[in-house]
Amino acid sequence: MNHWGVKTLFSALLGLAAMLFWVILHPEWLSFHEQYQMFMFTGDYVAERLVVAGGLADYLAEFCVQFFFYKWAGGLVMALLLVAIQLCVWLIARRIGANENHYPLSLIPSLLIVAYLGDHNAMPTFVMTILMALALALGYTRIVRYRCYCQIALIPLAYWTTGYGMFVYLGLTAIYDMLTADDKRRTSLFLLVYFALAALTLVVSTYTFMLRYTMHDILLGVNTYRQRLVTPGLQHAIAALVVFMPLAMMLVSRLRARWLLVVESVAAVVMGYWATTQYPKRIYDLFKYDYFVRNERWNAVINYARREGVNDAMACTAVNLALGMKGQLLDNMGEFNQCGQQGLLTRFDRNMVSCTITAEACYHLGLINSAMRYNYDLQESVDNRRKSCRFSMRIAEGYLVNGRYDASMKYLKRLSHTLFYSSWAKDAMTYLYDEAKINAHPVWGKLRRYQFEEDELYSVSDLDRLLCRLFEHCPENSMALDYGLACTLLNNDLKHFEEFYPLSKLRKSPYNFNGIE
Amino acid sequence: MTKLIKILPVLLSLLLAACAERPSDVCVVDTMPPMYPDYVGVTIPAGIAPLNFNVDKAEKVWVEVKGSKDGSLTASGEWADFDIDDWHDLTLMNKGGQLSFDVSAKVDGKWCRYNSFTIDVSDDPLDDYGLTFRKIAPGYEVFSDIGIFQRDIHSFDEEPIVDSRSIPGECMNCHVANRTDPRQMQLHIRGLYSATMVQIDGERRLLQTATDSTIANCMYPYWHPSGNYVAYSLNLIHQCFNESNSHFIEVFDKASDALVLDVRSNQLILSPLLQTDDFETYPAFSADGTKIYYCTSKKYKVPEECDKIQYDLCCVDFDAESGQIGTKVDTLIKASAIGKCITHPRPSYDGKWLMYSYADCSVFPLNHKEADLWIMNLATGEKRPMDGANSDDAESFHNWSSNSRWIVFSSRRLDGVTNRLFISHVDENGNTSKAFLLPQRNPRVYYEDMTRAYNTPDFTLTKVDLDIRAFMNEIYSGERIQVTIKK
Repeated sequence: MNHWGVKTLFSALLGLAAMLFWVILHPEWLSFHEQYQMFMFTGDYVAERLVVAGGLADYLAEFCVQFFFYKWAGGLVMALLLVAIQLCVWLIARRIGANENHYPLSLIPSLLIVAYLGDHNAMPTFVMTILMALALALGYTRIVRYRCYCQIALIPLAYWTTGYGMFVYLGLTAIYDMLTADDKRRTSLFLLVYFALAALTLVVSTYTFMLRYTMHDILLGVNTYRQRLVTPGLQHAIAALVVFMPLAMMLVSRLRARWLLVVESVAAVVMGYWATTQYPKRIYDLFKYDYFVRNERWNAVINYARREGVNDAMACTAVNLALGMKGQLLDNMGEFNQCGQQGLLTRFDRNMVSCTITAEACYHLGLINSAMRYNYDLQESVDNRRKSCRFSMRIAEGYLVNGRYDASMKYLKRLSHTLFYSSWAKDAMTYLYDEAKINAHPVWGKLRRYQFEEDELYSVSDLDRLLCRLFEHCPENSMALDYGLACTLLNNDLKHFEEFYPLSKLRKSPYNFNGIE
Repeated sequence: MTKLIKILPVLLSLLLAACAERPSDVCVVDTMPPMYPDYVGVTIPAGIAPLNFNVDKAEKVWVEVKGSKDGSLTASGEWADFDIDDWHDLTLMNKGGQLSFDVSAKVDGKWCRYNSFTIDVSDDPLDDYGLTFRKIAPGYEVFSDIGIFQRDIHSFDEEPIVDSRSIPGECMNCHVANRTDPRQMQLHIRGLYSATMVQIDGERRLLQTATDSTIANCMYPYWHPSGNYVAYSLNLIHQCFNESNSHFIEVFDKASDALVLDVRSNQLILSPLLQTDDFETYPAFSADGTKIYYCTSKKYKVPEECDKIQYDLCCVDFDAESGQIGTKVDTLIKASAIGKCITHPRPSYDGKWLMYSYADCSVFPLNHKEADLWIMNLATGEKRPMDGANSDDAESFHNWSSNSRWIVFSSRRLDGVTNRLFISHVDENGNTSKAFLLPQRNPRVYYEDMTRAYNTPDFTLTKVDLDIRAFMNEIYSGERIQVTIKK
C-alpha cells in the first residue's frame, strides 16, 4: 500500500469519523469538557500551568478544549488531534522500518483513545500529552548527530512539558535507539544513562517544583485524568500501546503477508465501532439533558425524554424544567416517569454533575441565591480544581441581580479574559451599578422582580410552600406556582395542594392536568 | 567586573528614575486622592511591607513621602509602588512620627495634585514574621481550591503551608499556633484523610479526635500558654440559605460542646459544664492559663429559630497542674439579655484585654453585616466597640500579635462578599487605630481579581516550618493516634 492517496484516505476517514462521532452522536461530550474549565488569555494563567510538570500539554489541551464551545469546532479539533497522533505513530514506525502495507495499524492508538475518552473523567490533556510525546520522539528520530547529548536535554524537557508523556517518549526513543544502533552494547549503556536521567528528573522534581504535589501527580501527570489520585488502567494501556505500536508494525512488516492489510483494516473498523460503544448511555443521556438545558433547548429535552424515557432524578429535573419553561409542567408532567420532589430539584451530591440542572432550574425559578450556591459548589466540585466559565457566568449574574456589583465584577473580569465568553462579560459589565438598565433587562430585571425582599429560608422539607410564596410575591412568576403545586402532587400532599391551589386564580392560564389522575 | 555588577542595579535605578515621568502643569484638586485601598490616617508598624496604592483612573502617579523626623521617598508609575528597603528605612527613621504623602496623578492626560495626607508610624513594634491564614474559593459543601498560607508581613512574600495540591479534595482548617509561636501548632484535615495534626518542636502526630463519648471531631482550637493543652469546641455545623438579596446564608450548630486535649497524653478532658444540652463553643484560655473563656447559648430549633441563637460570654477555671476543669461557670457578659451575641473571644497575651465579635445573633458572625469587634478591659470589665477596626460590614476572625499591640481580622467591607485581612493598632488604653488593608504589591489587581476569601488569620512569630513531603506521606498512610477520654 504505497499509494499516497490510500493512506490519506485512511487518515481522512479517521478524522471525519471522529468529527462526526462527536458532532452528531455526542456533542454533550464536547460541552461537558468545555464547561469544566476556564481558559484565560493572561500571563498568570500561562505561568500557573507551566510551573507544573506536564503543564504545557495541559495548557495546549485547554486551549483546544475552549473551542468545544461550538460543536463543529470541537469535533474538528478532536479529529485533528487524533489524526496527528495516528500520523506520528505511523512516521515513527516508518523510521524503524515498518512496511507501508501496515498503515491501518497506526489507527489503533487513536481509536483506543476515542474509547478511553468515553470515561468522562479522561481528559483531553491526556490526548495532548500523548501527541506531544510522540512529536518529541519523532523529532528525536530526525536527529542525525549528537543524539545522545540531545537526549540529556530532551528527557527533562519531555517531563517538563508532558509530565507523564516522558515515559512514552523514553520508551519510543529507547526502542528506536536499540533498533537503529550500530553498536548495541554502547547503546545499551546509553539507555541505562537515559533511564537514570529520567529517574533523576523525577527525584529532583519531587523535591523542587513538584514539592507540593502527590507522588501520583508526579508520576502519572497532574491533569491527564480529572480525578486526582486516580488513573485508570486503560490510560496506561494506551500509553504502552503507543510505545509498542511502531515496534509491532515493524515486526509484522517482516511477515510479508499482503492479506494482513485486509485483516488490519477490518480490525481498525471493528475497533472504531467498539470505541463508539464505550460511552455509557446512562451517563451520556444525563449529559445530553444537561447540554440541552444549558442551551435552553426545551423542545429537545422533551422530545429526547419522549424518545428515550426518563429513568433518573436528574433527567426528570431537566424534563420538568423544560415543561415548566414552556408552561406545561402541571399539564404534561404525568406523561413522564417522575422521581418525587427529587425530580423537580435534584439535591446536590457533592460532585460536579449532580445538580447542574437543578442550578439552572433555580435560576429560572428566581431562586437566585440557591442558583448561586449550587453553581459555587459545582465549581468547587470540579475534581481537577479548575474553574468553569458556565458556572462563573451564573455566579456573576447572581451577584448582579443581588446588586453586589463589585463581587460580580470579579467574575466578569475573569470571563472577559476568555475567548467565547468575553463579549458577554463585557456587555454584562455595562449593567453594573446601573439599576435602571438591570431592571429593564429581560432576564435580570425579571429575576429581580421574582426575588424576595424579606428573609426566606430555603428548606427542602418545605419546598412547596417556598415556591408558592415565590409566586405569591410575584404572580408574574407562574413557573414557581407550577413547581410548588407539582411538588405537593409528587409528595402526595393533597392538604398542601388544596391550600395552594387557589393561588392558581392569579395565574394567566388555567391548568389542564393531562395524564394526572 | 565585580564592581560593575555591584553598581549596575544603582545605575539602572537612576536610569529608571530619570525616565519616570514627573508631573508638569499640575492642577491642584482640593480632595483626598481617590486611592485604593484607603490608607489615609492609618497607623502602621515600622518595617511593615510598603503601603502601595492605586489611584482611580490614573494613567500615572507620582508620590512623595516625607517623614516627620527624617527621610523621604518617591514612587512613580502606574500605581504607587515603593521600594521595600527604602520604605523600611523611612518607617524605621520615623517610629513614633508621621509620614506625609503628596500624591499627583495623571488622569486623562492631565496631572493633578491632591490634598496631602498622613499616616502614623507607631512606636509599638510588630516584630512577628507575619501572618497565617486560610484562603478559600467560595463554596458551601465542597472545597477544592483551599490552602493554609503564610505571609511575610514585612514584604509581599506569601507561600502555602499546605494546600489542595498536596491533599486534594479535602477541607483543611484551623491552623493555630500557641500565642503566635509555630513551634507548637495544630491544624485539621477533613474528609477521607481526616486528622488533627499537632506539631510540637518539629515532632508531629496525627490524631483521630472523634470518640464515642463526644459529638464530633475537635474543631475550633486554642492553645494553653504552657503548650500542654489545647481547648477545642466540637460543633455539628450546618447551614441554610436565604432567598432574599439582603442575607445570603446562615451557619448554625445543631449541637456543640467544648473540651480540652492534653497533648502529652492525647487524652480529652471533659467537663459536664462544657457538655450541656445547650451550645458551648469557641473556648480560649486566658493569658495566664487559669481560665477558659467560651461562648454559650440556649438551644433553639434550627434553622427556623436561628435568629434567636445568642451567645453569652462565660468562663470556667482551669488547673494546668492537674488538668482539671473547674466546677463553677462565671457569666462575664450576658449578651442575650440585651438581644446581642458574643463569639470568638480572644484574650490578649499580656492579659489586659479580651476581644470578641459582637452581633445580633449566630455562631458565625461573618455572615452578619452588623458584626463588629469589641474589646473588654479584663481588669475593670469595661467594654467598648473597636471603632477604628469596625465598618458597616462584618468583622470577625480576629487575633492578637505576640506583643498584644496589633490585631489582624477579616472584614467584608470592600465588596460585601469576600473577606479581606485588615490590621489595626491597639494602644495601651485599648484604643484602636483605623485599620489598614494587608498591603500587596499592586493592591487593586490583587484584591479585585482574587475571588478567594481569607479566613482564620493569625500572627506568626516565626516562619512556619512544615515538612510538606513528610506530612503528605503521613496523611496518606492513614495512620492516626486515637485520642482517649481522661478518666
